[in-house]
Amino acid sequence: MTMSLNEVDAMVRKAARGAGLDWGLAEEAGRAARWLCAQGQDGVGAAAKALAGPKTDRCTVSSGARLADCAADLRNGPARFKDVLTPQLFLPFAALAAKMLQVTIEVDCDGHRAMTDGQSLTLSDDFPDHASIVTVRVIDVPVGIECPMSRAMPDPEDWAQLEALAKLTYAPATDESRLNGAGAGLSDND
Amino acid sequence: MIARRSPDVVMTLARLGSLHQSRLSFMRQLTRRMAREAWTFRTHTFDIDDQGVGHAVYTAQGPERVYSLVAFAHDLPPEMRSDRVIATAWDATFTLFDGVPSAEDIDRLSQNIPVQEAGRVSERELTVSRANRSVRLWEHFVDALAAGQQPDPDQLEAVGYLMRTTAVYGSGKLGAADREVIENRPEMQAPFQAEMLTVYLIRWFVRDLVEHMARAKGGANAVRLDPGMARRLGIGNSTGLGMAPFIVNHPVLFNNWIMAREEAIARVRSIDQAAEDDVTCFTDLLGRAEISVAAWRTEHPVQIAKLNDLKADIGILKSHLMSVNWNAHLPWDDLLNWSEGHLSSEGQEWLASLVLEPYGDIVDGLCSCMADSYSQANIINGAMPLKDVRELIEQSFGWALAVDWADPAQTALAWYVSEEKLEPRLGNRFEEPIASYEQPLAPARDAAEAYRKAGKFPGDATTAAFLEKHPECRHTVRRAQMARFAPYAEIRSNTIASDVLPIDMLRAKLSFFGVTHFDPRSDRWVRVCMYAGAPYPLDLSSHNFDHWIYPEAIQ
Repeated sequence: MTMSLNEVDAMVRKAARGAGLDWGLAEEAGRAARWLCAQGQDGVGAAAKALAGPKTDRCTVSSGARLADCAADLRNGPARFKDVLTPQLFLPFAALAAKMLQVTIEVDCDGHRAMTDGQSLTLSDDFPDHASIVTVRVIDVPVGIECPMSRAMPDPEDWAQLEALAKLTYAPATDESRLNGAGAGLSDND
Repeated sequence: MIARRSPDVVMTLARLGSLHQSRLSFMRQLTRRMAREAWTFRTHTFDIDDQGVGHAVYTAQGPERVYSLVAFAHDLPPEMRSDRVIATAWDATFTLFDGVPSAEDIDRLSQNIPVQEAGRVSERELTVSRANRSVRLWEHFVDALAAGQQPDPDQLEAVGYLMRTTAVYGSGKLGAADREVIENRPEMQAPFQAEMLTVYLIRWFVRDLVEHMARAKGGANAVRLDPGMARRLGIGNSTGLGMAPFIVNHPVLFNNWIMAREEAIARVRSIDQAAEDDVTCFTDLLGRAEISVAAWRTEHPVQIAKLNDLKADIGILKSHLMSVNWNAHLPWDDLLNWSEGHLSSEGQEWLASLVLEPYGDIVDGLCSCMADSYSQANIINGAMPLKDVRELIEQSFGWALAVDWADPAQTALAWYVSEEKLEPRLGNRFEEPIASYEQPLAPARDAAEAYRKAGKFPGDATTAAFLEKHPECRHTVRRAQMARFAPYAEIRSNTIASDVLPIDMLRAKLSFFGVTHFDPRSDRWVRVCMYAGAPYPLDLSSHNFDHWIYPEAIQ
């Protein structure tokens, strides 16, 4: 089954919130997964793996956000991150930095490389699920133009995992909420 | 050039809850475009039985592309009729198909569209929608037409529509095409054009369906609906709390709507001399708009009071207009300045929309600025000095910094999503177990909190350093930075106060769709009317595409 990118964004945002991330980071997670899917990558799978990991400041979404927030520093030299789970999810944040700086950025995970100019992405087939050292730097290489994808085809198990996390953001119904929460209550049979 | 009004004036909920349709409204943008481009319309299929069950397909052909409304008609037991999102069946269900559907497409859609949220659609579908009958008006119309009579105009006026939509989903919902798939098509560039086209075609289908049911009941005795009466029929829309968060969750988009209207008002205010034709156009449409106000029905005490204010305002305005010197400089600016001292918010906004009417040449170009195409708006600038973020918060939320957020009345409510069909709801924070499920829909409270925390940082700190320590302020900082280019992005009222009226948020959005006759059913639920007075697709022409929203006097 294919999903719209809006569905991916919304599901990952809710799942990230359900996993315990603050709202602003959950928004980043949703957009990051969406961007990866638009590049033809498995953004849903990357998000599912990342959200299964620790929700501390070592979480890939938090580190990625820090990378984007400190984008200007990349002009002075590379940034390094240790022990990154699911570095694929780092790439959309590198893309944000590339957009802001209007440059190409390389993300090196223990020797496996990806490049993005913010719009397009190229990465090696063996891009790893875990990296001891991730080095992010500005490079002077143009990235080829890719045709963006408009649909995602997530693995059903990954999607189910995100749904389970998203469910944690929904309040269980009570009689009061059922009756008054949406504010209807009048008959619609008129 | 006269300046745009300040966001402090425009962005309070009381003001947003008084907005009216204008030339910039999305329904009117659509009919203008379709008439100018000479779109053609066709009934492709009408396969509905005597019980009113079956499907129909209507096509709308533009210069480059064709769109089809696929409608499914159902026989709904009364006990299942509910406008809420928790409903599972409807009188009719719809999708807007990108192109003309094949038999296989119809077969696929017939298994998915009638169940709405329980089904899935594809990238070929642009919207998914459903509607319920107004039971009393529907039965009256079928009975009258079946007996060879025209329906009673008073009953038509009391309700205004035969069916009301209870949701029109787009932008990738339920698997439909994302906005990005269609946003570069000229006819879909403005916001909500696919949704507005869906409803426009639904109105045509509903007219055909009621005539079909009258024929099924009355046989040879049945008559067709008088075209003049058909034209007065709109499509209702029943909108609940679920729509309210939209204007908070899309700050740049909402800014663009408000800013376009404020820019239009400022441009008209800046006109030095009013031409005689323009004054005539204005006074003519004022009279017609008054007919629409007279036909506006509501039982909700808040709206009754506002409607009475508006009717009184129109009287005051008409007597003022008798003494206006139209040859003076800046006549529209004078008139709007006068209105600020003499009319209620309802009256001021009604007038502000009306003065735009003669000036399509300087107003309509703003329609192309109403979409949100700035993809970098969400990127936080971590290098921005934190003191600048604090200044931006002061700009948008200066009023909120003075609120006592420890007062329970200021945080009495919390927005949350229920497990049941994911319905957005509003509950009492201190009486229901919902606070831990709260959605980020209280930007003012959160801004005050972030402002306080940022105040404890050194003056030369960066946004990045602040967010590393306070990730919980990230969504607030993102919004604050948007204020640099989106001055009308933030509502300047408390969205979780004990006395908040969510219907004000609903009305702000619906007014830009171009709806009329706001009829709140509670403080968080509203019924409205769409397309009443509009020419039907086969009658749409260069003579009737623009001012149809203003009823002509019945001879």
